[in-house]
Amino acid sequence: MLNMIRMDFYRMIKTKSFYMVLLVFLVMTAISTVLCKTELEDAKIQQSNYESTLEQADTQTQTTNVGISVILPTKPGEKASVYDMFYANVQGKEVALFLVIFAVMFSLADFKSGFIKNIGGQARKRFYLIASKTIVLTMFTVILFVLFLFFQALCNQVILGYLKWGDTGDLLTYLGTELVLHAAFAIFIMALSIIIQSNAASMILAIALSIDLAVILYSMFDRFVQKYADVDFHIMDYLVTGKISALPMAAQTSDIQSALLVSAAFIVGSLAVCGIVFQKRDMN
Amino acid sequence: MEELLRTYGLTKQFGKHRAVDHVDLHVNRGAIYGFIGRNGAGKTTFLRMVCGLAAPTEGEIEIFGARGKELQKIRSRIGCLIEGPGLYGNMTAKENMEIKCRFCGIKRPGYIEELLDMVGLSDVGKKKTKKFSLGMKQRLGIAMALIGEPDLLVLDEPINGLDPQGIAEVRDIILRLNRERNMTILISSHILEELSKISTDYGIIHHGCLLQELTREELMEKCSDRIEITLNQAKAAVPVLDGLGIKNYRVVDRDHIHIFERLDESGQINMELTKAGITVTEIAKTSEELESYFLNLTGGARHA
Repeated sequence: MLNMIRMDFYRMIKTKSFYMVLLVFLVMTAISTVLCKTELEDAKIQQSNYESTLEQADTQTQTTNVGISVILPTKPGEKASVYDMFYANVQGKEVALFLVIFAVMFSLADFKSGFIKNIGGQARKRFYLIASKTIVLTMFTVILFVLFLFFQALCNQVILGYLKWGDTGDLLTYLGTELVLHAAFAIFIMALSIIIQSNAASMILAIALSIDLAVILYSMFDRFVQKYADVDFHIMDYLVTGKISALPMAAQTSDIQSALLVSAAFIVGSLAVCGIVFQKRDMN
Repeated sequence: MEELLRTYGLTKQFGKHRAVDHVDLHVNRGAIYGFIGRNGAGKTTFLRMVCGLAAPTEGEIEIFGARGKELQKIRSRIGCLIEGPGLYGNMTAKENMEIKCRFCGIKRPGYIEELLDMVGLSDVGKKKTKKFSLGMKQRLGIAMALIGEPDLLVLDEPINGLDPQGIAEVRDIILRLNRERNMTILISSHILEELSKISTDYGIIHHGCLLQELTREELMEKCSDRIEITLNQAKAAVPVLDGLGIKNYRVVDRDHIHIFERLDESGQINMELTKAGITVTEIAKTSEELESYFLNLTGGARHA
């Protein structure tokens, strides 16, 4: 198992996509900071953004934004902290989008190149190959988050002209919880890709799910449940993508617990289904 | 001789199509087993099952005496090259090899270089494998299969698409592995002529069924010049042939005898047999090319 992890880690750092995804992500982070600077200079936009953040935090309900939207939660007149920027990008699904793009490419690379034939038959348990990919994808998630945090700090210093970290306790709690949610999402996408075995279809699905393009389906499902079960049901409360955007900046214990529970359910469910399919399916 | 690989009624069904149909195959330790069949005969599907890439619908595989759940534990002793080499095109030969070395837990310095040298790829440097010729890719595929010092090497059509020079190189590698490392090799091809240059044993598969297993000597005998006699009592003809001083002959079955010497004396042999009261229905001098032997066995030259 350890050998497989060593193998997958080596494979990850040797692939072009690893560096390309990180590079484009960092460029996007810099662009996003430049755009935020413009917003910070406009009091009206800043006020509107702040109200929108407050509204979401107060009602505890989630407004689903289709696509990527970076809305700064900074109080008007205050300086934007690294945490503000970090939160805005994570909540806006920018990180999730890049993560799933890499997850699809990484998960299918050995199948598409045929390399899996060199090792597939020799693995003591085929599930170990999935488990190893899971661990390495989680490592990538950690790398992405850490790199993002420090690069954001650098962007704040260089583009905004100052460096303010924000509430470190809240930042670390938020970062840790979002890291688990993102890892769960990446593992779900990995499982989906391995089951589908198609680069194009997996990529479309992954992107669609990360930017909540299925929101119409979700609301139809919500209405269906509300109508027939007579309960206030929101499927987004039970999805990792929903939790990624809904986690508040000052997260309460219940928020964290619920996020971790959903993540755990996604990880276990994804690995179980993918493991069974991979075990039974012939390797081509 | 010790059997290294044996299959028992191995079957693979895809929907209504039976790609491999109750195959009982035997490979001895140290053999180069040529697995011959036309395109679509079921060779690759069979080899994929042996290598653990596909699960049999029915039947069992025994490798190194291990069967059933035990089989997975010894699969690391099998190296395989199935349906062309699986390589990362954006990586170098060394990087591709390094990935598999990590999988096998091999850290020995110089190990990769040694294998690359063995297959004649020591000078490829940092060239990406996507820029390799087909022959180079096949040789790298063999080197990948050799990682971990397997006892059984499974090669699926390793000479497909290669030019004569490439074919000779691959042939040379296979022979060296067999002689120098005493490696058992199971190699498939639809080109009998090429396999006949290296194989010690043969299995002929057609429409998923194993038609025949034979040694090199048996195949050569079947394809050599001979007098074929069809008669009513083969057993009774033995003392007559002995009396004529004929030593190199074989009683094929109750009605057939093949004689491999004194090929110009069929008339005299016929006369002596008749004198002994044996009815000779047919006597003819025949010979068969390897390729036509294979084609006759698999039902003619169509699609060959």
